[in-house]
Amino acid sequence: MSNRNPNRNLMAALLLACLTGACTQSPKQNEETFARYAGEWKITKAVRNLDDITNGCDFGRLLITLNKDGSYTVEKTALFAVTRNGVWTTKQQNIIVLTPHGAADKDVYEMQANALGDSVALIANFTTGSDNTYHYILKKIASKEKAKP
Amino acid sequence: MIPVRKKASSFAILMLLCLLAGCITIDEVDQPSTAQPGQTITISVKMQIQQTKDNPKDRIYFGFLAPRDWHATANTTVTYTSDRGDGKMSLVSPDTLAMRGNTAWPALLHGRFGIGVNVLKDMEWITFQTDATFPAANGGPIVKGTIKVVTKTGMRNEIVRLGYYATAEDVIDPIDNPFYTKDLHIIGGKGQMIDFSHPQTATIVPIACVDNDYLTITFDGNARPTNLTDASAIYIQATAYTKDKQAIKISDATPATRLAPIGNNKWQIQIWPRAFFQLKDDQSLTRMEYSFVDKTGKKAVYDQSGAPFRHEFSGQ
Repeated sequence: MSNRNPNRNLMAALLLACLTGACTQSPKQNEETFARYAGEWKITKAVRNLDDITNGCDFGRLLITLNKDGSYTVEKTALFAVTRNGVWTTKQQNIIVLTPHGAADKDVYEMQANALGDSVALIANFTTGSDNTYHYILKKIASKEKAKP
Repeated sequence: MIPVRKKASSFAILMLLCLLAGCITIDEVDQPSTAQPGQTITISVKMQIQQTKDNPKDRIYFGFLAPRDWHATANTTVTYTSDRGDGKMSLVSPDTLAMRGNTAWPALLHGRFGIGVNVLKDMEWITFQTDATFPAANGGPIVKGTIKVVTKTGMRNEIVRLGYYATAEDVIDPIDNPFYTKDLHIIGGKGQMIDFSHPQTATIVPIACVDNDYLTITFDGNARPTNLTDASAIYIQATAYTKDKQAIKISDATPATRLAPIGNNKWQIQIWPRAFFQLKDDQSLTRMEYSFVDKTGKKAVYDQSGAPFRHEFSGQ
């Protein structure tokens, strides 16, 4: 069993953030930004080529978890831009940057965070090898939802 | 000549709206009735503009509805001739928001008009605007003009009804004026005929897709009489073929294979083939054959030749 420093991923993510220009934020701001986005996210709306396909797809399940230590895990419950786990960070406070393990620069993926009423939504736009475009809105799974059987 | 459709009951509303915005009416569209895959075709859209307000900065906006696989944004040029001069129209960037809306032009037209009189949802509206302003003077004479569209058909055999829309405002006129033509037949290419404009028992969109897309599969019980016409539950049975020549069959009636009713005797299922067929990371699909069955699997619907419906995946 490995005994990795739990803060190792966070440090790596913060270092990556510095390298990508996010160091205009203070460490405290960075912590607050991380706290805002860390959690479990699911798809609440999916649009393919301008057609809403949310109702026909099983999107109720967890898609991605942004961990507080700067790592993320992606579930293969739905088609998504990123299929491998990795590390995440933020830039310009409202851009979530996902860097899959072993990824080349071109594989780094960005989602935008938008205010949605009192909560925050992540906006994911991507294609998957065809010229079809996908637009997802992700919302954080609330604690009480997790408690449901 | 194809006369423009007019709705007498909405005439008063139309006239009122014309007072609020410059009205453009498409009178006639000349386009070929047949073409070959990948052929460049020329289309003339004859229109008239009623000048109902003063606006020195008006431009003409022109929408064109075509199958997505035509890649019309890259393969279309638009010019015009008119009583008020001739000129070019340029593609409006898909990200450009209409002035009085908070929506980009493609989404605005798609949301308002959808795919028009077609039934296969794999089409897109693209928008052009005159490079020069087209000033309007309230009470001025009606301006007549012709928009010339030069575009290239897609590489598939297709039947489609193209759509045209024009407005003198940087926003959709609140007038339902798209003009849809009769069927254009694209023939002489490879592959099965893709029919955008007539009801069919089975359809899949998007037409051009890979196994890592969401596919919308629709069963239309009204397209022709079948032995599932009165079924209370419909399931899909499918066999996928991989590049390495393996066949993966899904035939059980489960929640994952059950189609949902969407009204008017139509049923639909969305599948993500990579998950639906439980593909390994190194597997990819070349094609899929499928049929529709009842819960027992005893009543099945195939294509009209009695063979399973077939879908080809794009090269990956």
